[in-house]
Amino acid sequence: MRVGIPQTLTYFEFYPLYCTFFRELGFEVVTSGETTKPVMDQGILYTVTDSCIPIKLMHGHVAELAKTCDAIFVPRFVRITGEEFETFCPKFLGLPDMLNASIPKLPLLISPKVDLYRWPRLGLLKLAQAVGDQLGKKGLGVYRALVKALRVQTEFRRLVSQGLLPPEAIAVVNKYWQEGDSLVSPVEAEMVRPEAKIRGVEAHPITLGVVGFPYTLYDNFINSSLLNKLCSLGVKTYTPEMVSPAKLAEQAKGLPKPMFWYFSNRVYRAARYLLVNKKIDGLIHVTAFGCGPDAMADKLIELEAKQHGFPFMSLCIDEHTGEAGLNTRLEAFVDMLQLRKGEQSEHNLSAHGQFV
Amino acid sequence: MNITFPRMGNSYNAFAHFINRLGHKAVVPPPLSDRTLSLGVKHAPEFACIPFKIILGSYLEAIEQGADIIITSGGSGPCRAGFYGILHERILRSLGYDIEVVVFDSIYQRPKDFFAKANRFRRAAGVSWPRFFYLIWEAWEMVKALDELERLSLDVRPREKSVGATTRALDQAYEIMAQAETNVDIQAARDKGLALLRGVPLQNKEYLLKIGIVGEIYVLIEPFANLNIQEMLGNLGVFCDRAIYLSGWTKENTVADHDAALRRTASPYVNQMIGGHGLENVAYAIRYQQQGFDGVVHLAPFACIPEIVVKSVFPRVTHELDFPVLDVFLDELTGKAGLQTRLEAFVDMLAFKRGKYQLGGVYT
Amino acid sequence: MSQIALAANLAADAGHQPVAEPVFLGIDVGSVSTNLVLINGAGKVLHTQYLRTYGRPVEVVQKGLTALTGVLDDQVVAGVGTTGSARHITGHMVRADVIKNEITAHAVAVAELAPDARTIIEIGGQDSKLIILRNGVVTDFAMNTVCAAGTGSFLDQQAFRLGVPIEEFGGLALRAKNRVRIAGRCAVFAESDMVHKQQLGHSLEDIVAGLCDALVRNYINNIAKGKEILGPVVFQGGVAANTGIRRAFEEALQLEVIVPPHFDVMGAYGAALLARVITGEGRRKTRFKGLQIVKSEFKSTSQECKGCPNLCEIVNFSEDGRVIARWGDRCGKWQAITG
Repeated sequence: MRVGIPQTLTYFEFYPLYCTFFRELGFEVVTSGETTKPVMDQGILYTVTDSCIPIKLMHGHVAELAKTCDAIFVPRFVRITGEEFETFCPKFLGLPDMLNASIPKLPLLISPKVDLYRWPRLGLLKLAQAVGDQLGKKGLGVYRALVKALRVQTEFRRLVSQGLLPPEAIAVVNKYWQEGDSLVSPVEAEMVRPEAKIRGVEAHPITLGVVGFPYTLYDNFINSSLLNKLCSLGVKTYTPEMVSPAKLAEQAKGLPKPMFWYFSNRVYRAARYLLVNKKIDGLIHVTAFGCGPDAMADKLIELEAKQHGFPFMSLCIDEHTGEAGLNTRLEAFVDMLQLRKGEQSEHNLSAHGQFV
Repeated sequence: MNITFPRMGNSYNAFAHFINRLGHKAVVPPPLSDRTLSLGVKHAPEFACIPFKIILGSYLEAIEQGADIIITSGGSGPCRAGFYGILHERILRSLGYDIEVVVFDSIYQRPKDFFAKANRFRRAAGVSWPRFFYLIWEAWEMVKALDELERLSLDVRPREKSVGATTRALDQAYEIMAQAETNVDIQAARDKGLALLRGVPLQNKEYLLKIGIVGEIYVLIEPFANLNIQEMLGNLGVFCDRAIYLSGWTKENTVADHDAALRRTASPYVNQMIGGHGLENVAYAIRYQQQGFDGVVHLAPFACIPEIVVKSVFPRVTHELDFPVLDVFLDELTGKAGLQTRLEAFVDMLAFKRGKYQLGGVYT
Repeated sequence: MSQIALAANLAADAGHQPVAEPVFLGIDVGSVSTNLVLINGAGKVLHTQYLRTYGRPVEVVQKGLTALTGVLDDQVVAGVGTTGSARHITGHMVRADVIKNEITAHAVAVAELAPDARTIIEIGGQDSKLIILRNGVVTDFAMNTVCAAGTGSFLDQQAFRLGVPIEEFGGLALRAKNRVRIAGRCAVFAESDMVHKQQLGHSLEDIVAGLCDALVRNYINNIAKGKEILGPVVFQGGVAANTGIRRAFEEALQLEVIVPPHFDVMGAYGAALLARVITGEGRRKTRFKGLQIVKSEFKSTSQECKGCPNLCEIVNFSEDGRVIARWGDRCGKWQAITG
């Protein structure tokens, strides 16, 4: 039996867990691959016009998998943190319902409800059991698969915390599965890949915070390789995934009550962390066209950047973001920061004798 | 304190009543207008929903009238409305207004916070807690009375002899209600208003099409946001029933395990609370079908998150239950003429389906 | 414009000899075009007119009616129906027997001409519609609300940009060898993508065909989303003259697409049919004022009602200085006082 995993939304967050769990249960695991034009077109076809671009892409990926898979894993994400009112966006909550109503001839949809608010460990066990039941797997094997999956997921998190972007860390996991290597050894080698070098070296004129959802930041099709482009402009970037969970949690104090959306809270807190601690020269918020939570978070981040005195740019990603237009905007923003920084340093040198 | 609040449907009468009776000054936001909307659109994020924009514009207009503090409701999501207050306050402050938005979250979820905030307004007014609660109860009576008047108007309008008679009677009834002071006055005003509406001359109609209206609560209740859809339908000779009232009419008048029953009804289509009234609206639509209604109009703000999920599953509901649903997503560009055309066509379609179609002559 | 030319041909076919039998008039006043259709008691089309509205519905209707005086004797107009976005004002102006929305009018017209049709695609200058019929009854419909990317004006704009007369669009599209993919949900994006493709040196034919595909894709993605499109499919509205669009629809839907005669005046035809029904095929007396109204002077003025805080804008519509209709008031108190 072949289980399909859409390569979008929570893929960039939990794919190592999904993949390991199903493989350990003895299933073949395939992904829908990177977003492509046909995938996007299919997604647009199957969703209502008013929907946001990430949900459209999700429909496209699921439709792609429906062609070849016996089952598709689309968990219904409700809560995964200890915050009572931090759920996922309503479209995540209703995702399996939307898919069922919109895409004809779907294979088995594995869509357990993920609510880990009260009893995270027990919840995970039950979740594994529910998925196992649906696929006819019982007994200890399911728990063993879960334990292994959690271990690989922890390794993946460690790689990300060392500065790998999620897609890069996922590549390490995939290599592990293909070559049977241990998960640890290739990591240090991976760390010296060229992008990491550029990203890590101090000789960058500009450091930018680039905040957004993992599924917009790391989907190179939909954002026209935004991060690579910044990299080639010689910009060092920080994304929310590079800020440790503890540091993110500290920033919750920026709002009288947290937002209701897991990913948006992370984006806002990462932005605030970077601004408050002056880690960056400027901030880019990558928003998704039609995304409801983004409309709120974007305004909050904009006001936050203004208050802390940092240049801010909001970049909206949609189904026809032209590459040319994006390049122009990025280059202009980076140029502006460079000029500003030049002026500032001269000014600072003469006036105060030190950098900010 | 000069207190203002979001304007939604007829409820402003009751809020103003409560604030004034408490001894503060209520600044009733001016009737919503194109100016309100353009003010809101100017300062709100592009993809914020239309209620966010209208309310922001309305706050700005209330501030012009001298309001210095805003009271609003909160929420626990995941619908964005629960976060409006916080963002509204930040936007207003960034525009240079020294204004505070006091957000009342659910009394059940955050009781301490709720009472602390309530206490502030009570103490400043110098009234006792029992009196405070009495006034809340009194205002609630007014909310219920206002909704009762509105409900009756929906019944009367499609049968009225001369166009607009019901609307005139209803406006008059609201005016009488606005004069009410004590609960005795409120009840008397309610009776007078009901009598006014019952006095509207009617014509005999052997059959009325029945349309249920479901959707996001703000655009459902506020006529400015929905281009007065209740009146448009009524003027087309259609009886319409609205699923949601502020006084929670449905809740009190249906089964005791209201929420669980709704969840059961919706479960084949949406099997998870998705915020706002998303799941409920699917259930309401199915109930209208079971009650023999001809169709449902689904109202939502453009980019409303829960209602997009609902819109995505409605085609399945329509298909499986053979029950027509007209989705109307509203934003600042929605024109009345286009909506009128769609409603007329929808009504024709339902009439054909019912087999009650007599090319009704001139629509005006 | 090709549509006009075509309509003129049709009119020529129908002949211009004066008619003596009772006839029914349908008037469809849209934002771009105003159409008039005359039918006889048997439903046969006797005369059609396709005029540009230019934002002046009253004048253009008067112009159309003036042209009618040459065709018939006003005694025999036995019923009038109006439709289109200016159906109400036109209805008041001529005193129509029936004022109907354009969805119903189009559906009625198709039910008469092609009773077994199950899908109607209608694309006009500034709007597009999809009507689903089952057994001759409308079961579902959709209209574009804001966006113009799926409408005729999109093609007009691009034709202008390319310097190609819109009449030649269809023929060019059919000659395309490698149709270019032009992206864009929105007219603005499509335009910039088209310019980009032009700069890459694609041939005119391929670009024109790509534009046709883009319009059809937009239509299918926006209006036809989630609707069950079954054949026979009828394609009407001004854009149906464009053979390139028709072919693009056939390829996208994998169904034969029928363009009916009078495809560009179907709304008016439907309104005429409705007028025929409502007057009992001429047995009930029509409310129509007669063709002499072409000599009347119609005027709209507006005022703000200060009767309540709603401040409604009241429009007074007058004929020769006498108010014949009012609208815009929520409470109806102005609507009641006319004449």
